[in-house]
Order: sequence, then structure tokens, then C-alpha cells
Amino acid sequence: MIKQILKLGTILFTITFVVVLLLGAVNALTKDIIAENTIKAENAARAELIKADYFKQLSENVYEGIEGGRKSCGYCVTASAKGYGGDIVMIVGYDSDFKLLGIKIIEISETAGLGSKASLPEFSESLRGKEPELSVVKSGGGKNEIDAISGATVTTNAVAKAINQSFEELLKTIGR
Amino acid sequence: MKNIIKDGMFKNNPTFILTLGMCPTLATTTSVLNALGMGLSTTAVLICSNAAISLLRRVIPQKIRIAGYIVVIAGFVSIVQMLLSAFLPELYKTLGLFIPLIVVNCIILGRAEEFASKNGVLPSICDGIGTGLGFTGALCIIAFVRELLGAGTLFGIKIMPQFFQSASMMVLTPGGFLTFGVVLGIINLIIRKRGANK
Repeated sequence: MIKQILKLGTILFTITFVVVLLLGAVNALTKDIIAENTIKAENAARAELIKADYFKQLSENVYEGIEGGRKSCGYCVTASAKGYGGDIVMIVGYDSDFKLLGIKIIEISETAGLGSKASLPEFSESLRGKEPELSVVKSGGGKNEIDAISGATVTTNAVAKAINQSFEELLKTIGR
Repeated sequence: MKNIIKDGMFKNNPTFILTLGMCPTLATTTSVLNALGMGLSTTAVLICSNAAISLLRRVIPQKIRIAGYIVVIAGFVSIVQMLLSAFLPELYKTLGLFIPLIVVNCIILGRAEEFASKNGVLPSICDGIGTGLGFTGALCIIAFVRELLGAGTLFGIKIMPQFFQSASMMVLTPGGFLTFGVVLGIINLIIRKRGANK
């Protein structure tokens, strides 16, 4: 009896051990590439939000767009908030008057076809010119309001929260 | 071999005959693009896991087979996820959310238990291909109806004319159940008629 249990346990242990070894190997192989991809995606996202010559890092999440050598042409802030299916990570773009330019989603796992609409360019466009602190309304939102995505209120709330947090961090970083 | 593939697609269709993997079916049929993505990813995992389980079928004892299969399948899916994320980041961005969903898809465990643990590697791979394609087809049929009626689009392109008021319910859970039920009913009707004709 004991012998049988030991035998079964050992086999299961061996299978699990081999699988874990494989997982560890693949992880070691891909870890750096994945990290690099994330950095590339973030840089590409910043470039899409603001036309700048380069981005000066002001703090961990805040980057300032510089053009013509010295002129500040806007800010990009990385922010995240808990959505319906996990953290939504985005880069929020501001122009030099601290008005929203739009957002670029880096990570999102919201409901496909509903909350995932937050990744659409139309949604980002709809945010242009708005000013935090933002709240979510059903429709017809003004300068300080976002129109909720139909069927995805939780997602829209998370996006608003992330944008508001990014604005706070931006002001804190540049000392206002 | 070809018969095994055909069986997987029609006679043993995982969605409409075996009714396995209902959760991901309802979740990913909100658009045809998502359905296609989920179906093809699942097919890839099915082929690999069926092959692996078949290779290990004499090694894994009956008493611990479920635990053994789950370890192998979950390991596979995690590896696929890491490789995609590293080497095909654009594809990963589109399909990324579905991959963890595949691990809990009953179809994978179902076919491992039902077929791969009892057959050779090549037949098991064929079963994976057939079942996977059958799943993909079923998903696309359901998604076709849901996206067209629920959003007026197909593959994100507006198909329905201006005056069409899309029924948002179709892309939410009730619509999923309704569509699945109706399609299943139609298919059962066709099968029964065919059986009567013989």
C-alpha cells in the first residue's frame, strides 16, 4: 500500500519536476526579451502620443517630450488601475497646457468586444482636450467627463481613475 | 487518419456534440476575430498536448492521470504564452487574453482522457487537429451571429445598414446562451433529418 503511494508520488513528482525545469528554461530564455519588448512598446506608445525629438525621464513614470533641443512639448505618464479583468496599464499623453492628448493602452485584459474597446483609437481620440480630474457619465460628457463605454462601466471607471492618478503624479513631479 | 480529423470536426464536434468548453465558447464569441483567435490558439495547444499525453501514456499511471495531464497541459500553455510574448509580441497582444483561458478549457483535458491516453502519437495529433478545427468552426458560427446582430459588424467592419439597431444583448451573456441554443437546435434537427433519410 505504502509502496504504491510512494511509487505514484514519485512518478507525479518526476513529471512535475521535468515540466517545471522546462518552464524555468523557457522563462530564462524569454525573460529579458519580454522586458525589452515592454520597453519598446512603451517608447513606441510615447512617440505616437507626442511628436518629440526625444523623451526626458523626469521620474519613474513621468516622461517629458523635448523638441528642438530644449522646448517642452508635452508629457507622458505611465499609469495603471484595476479594471474588470485585471490591471489596465496605459500611457497618458498631455500637451504643454496639461490638457489630455489621448491614451495608449499597454496592458489590458477586459471583456473582449466590450471593455476592450478602451484600446480603440476612437476612444483615445474622444479624450483629446479633456482635463482631469475626470468623472464618468453616461453620455454627452463635457471637459471633465468621459462618456462611459456601452456595457463597460467598470472599464471606463478604471481608465478615468488611471488618468486622474497620472495627472496627480505629473503635477507632483514637476512641482505644482 | 483523415477519418479521425473528420470525426473531430463533425461527428465528435466538441461544441455541438460533446458540449465541452462552454465557458470560453460563450466568452470569446462576441466577435468573429476573437472566435478565430481563440479557436486557432486552442487548436495549437490541443495538437501539442495530445501529442505529449500520447507519448507519456504508458508512463503516467491511471490513478494519477488527471493530475499528470493537468501539469503537462498547464506547463505547455505557459510555455506557449512566454514564447509568444517574447517572439511574436504583436500576435500576443491580440491573443494574449485567451491563452490562460485555454488551460481551463475542458476540451483539452477531455480529449487527453478520451483519446490521447489510449492511442498513438500520430492519431492523437490528428484528433487534436480535427477537434481543434471543429471547435474553431463552431466558435465562428456562433460569433458570426452574435457580432452581426449585436454590433452590426463582422471582423470589426460595419456590415449592417444605417437603420439597423444592433441588439447589444447579443454580445452579452444572454445573447451567448440564446445563440448557442438556437444553433444547437438547428444542428440537432439536421442530424435527425439525415438519420431519418438513411
